[in-house]
Amino acid sequence: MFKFALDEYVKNIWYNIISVFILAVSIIVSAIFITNLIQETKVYRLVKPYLDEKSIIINSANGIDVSLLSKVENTLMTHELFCMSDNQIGLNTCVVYTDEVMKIMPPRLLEGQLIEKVEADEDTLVVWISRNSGGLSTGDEITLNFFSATEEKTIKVKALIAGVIADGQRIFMSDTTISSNMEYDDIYCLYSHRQMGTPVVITTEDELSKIDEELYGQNKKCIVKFQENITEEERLENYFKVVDMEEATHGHSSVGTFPESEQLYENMKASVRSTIMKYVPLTFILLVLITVCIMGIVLIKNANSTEYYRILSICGMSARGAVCITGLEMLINSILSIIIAISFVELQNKYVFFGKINCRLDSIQICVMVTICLIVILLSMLITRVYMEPAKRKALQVP
Amino acid sequence: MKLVLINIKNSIKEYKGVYVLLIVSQLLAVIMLFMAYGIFCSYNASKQEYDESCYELSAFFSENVMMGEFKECYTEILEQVEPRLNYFFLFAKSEDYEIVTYNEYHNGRFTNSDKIYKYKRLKEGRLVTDQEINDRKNYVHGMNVGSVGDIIEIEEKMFQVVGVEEDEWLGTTIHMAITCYPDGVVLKNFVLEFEKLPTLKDYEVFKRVLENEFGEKVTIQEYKVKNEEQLIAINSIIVLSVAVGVIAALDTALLYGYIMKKRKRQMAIFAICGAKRLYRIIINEIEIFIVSLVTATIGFVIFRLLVEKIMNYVYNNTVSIYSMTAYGLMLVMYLLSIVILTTIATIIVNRKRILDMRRECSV
Repeated sequence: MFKFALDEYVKNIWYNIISVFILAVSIIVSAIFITNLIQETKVYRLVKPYLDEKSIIINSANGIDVSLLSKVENTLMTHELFCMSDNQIGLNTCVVYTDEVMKIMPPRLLEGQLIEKVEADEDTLVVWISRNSGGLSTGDEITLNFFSATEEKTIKVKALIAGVIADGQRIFMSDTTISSNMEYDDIYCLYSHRQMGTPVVITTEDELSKIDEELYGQNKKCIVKFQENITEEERLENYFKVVDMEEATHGHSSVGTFPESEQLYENMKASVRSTIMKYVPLTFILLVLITVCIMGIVLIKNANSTEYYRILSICGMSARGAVCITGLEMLINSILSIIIAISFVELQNKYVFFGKINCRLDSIQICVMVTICLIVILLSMLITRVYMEPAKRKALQVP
Repeated sequence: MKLVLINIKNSIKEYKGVYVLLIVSQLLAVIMLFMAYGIFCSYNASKQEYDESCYELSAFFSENVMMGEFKECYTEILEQVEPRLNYFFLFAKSEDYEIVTYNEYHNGRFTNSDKIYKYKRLKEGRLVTDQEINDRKNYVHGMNVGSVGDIIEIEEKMFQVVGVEEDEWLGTTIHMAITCYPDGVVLKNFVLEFEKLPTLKDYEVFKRVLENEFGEKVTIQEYKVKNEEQLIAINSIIVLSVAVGVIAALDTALLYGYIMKKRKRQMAIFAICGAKRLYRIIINEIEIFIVSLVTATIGFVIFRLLVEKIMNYVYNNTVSIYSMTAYGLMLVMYLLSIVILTTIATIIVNRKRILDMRRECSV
């Protein structure tokens, strides 16, 4: 049966080649589409659970005890540590990513790999670094000097560079600029070493747990979300508590300089709506086109083969046999198209043929890829089964 | 022609499902092509706009800031940003004229901006030369400024017109080098256009110097860090819109391929009856062309009436990118590609011996 299916496959080679290409391009297109959508909404997905019309944004949460505020539901706080390196590259910040941030907003890497994939000693901190004047890159080891939060002392830590982050991306770090017309994503820093000149290192909370001491941090930006049932009076009370704490710590308060959270929240909704709206025509195009392509592939496959299968069935081949052959052919097509799509994604990410584009094969993209292939295989098998029914066999006309 | 119509009728009868799918997919391909074009143009425009805005630092002067005051500080800024600077733009107003400057600054010397003046069309005369700029000659060129040789007075200073630009609008615009500005003109806008991305230090110098000199009279536009991620997202959409076209083309090729395969028998019979190869190809091509033309026209009407407005709304296109020329070009390209591809396929099918053609289509 398998050999027969292969013979059939070779016999219809041109049809199969075009089908493989259509499937491969459809998979690649859906991968680009999904990756792009995920990338464009990453800050929104991170901020959404914390920002509503009642939230308060604190520019520098150092010395501010959020537990003193009433009816706090949750907080999203950047975690930045003051640190210097022995290499004289002007480093002064180490940004710490929580698991949540790593999952939703991992930094885009220019080179290197994920921190958790790098094996290092218990006393070595694995970090990513931005581009830097010292030319430090993946695999280099540096010494980072942190400062204790409790005593006046420097803590020297050996660090291994797992990768270099790309310029021009938003990282989970406070942006120093606050303006009344800022958008929700402006809360976090749009970082570029080329333009800003100062490098940063990024590490994860897991890695940081290798250091036993409490480290001195700076410029923590914090979004505080309150419970649904908070009254305006309680919110205002919290607001003034933050103002007092900020003034006590820094001598001034920044809370009032942010746009009202209600305005920020409305802007966020409008901005995301506009982003998603721009995807609607494209989603429609892709859905319709992929459906038509699948229909085309399936229909032509059956139009090509069923007449021939019917002759074979008269010669004794069961309907199940025909269904299996169709399924096997389509399986080969699907596997080939998946191989082409994966190779394309890998090659594109390595050699950047089409310029820099968002194209990754993560779990969602793989699910879509498998779904497209499964639909093609199952639909072909189903239609073959319908065409091979005994009642229809009688209608056979040998040309 | 009658034969072609009979062919179409028979095809619809014989390969009902595939033919309907072929027409639907062609119809969709045309609509997709227009949509993909709209998405491509819209994103490409926003990409260029965004890209350009990252390369400039600009300041707006809200109150009466005189050029005399500005002369005290601009060289300090230019000297600091010179390595990355492309050119700078100055916009000022006198009582009668609007004055603009596009100059470059290198090693203490000012020159005309090549980027701007390379394509300037002059009705008569010439541009002010680089030497004249640095010799501080009171020469200007502009639009609606009279004729070459005329003398014009701006804030008690006399200028000779050396060139006249072709009229593009009614207003009077004078192009003047920064070295010969009269002190009394009112400064409105100062923009630095960079060759390489401006650094935070460039911005800080720009902001510090202007704010020290003019305080609240000047508004400095916020510093922009180039958002590579936004550009990557736009690039991805552009690639997507091109890929959509590729899928549509492959799908049409697949469906036509099937029809061609099924036509082998008919071609063989025509050949047996004495029809020449060219004649057989023409019959096929006319049929494909008619079907494609009809579907393309219907697709165009549907898109024009229903989808175009939605596209312009969704992508905030202030100017419609769908001109009749664009539609015409897309349709011609679409029909040409189909005719060329199917002609190649028909030639391949008809190249074989009649007996082989007949044998191939018997199973």
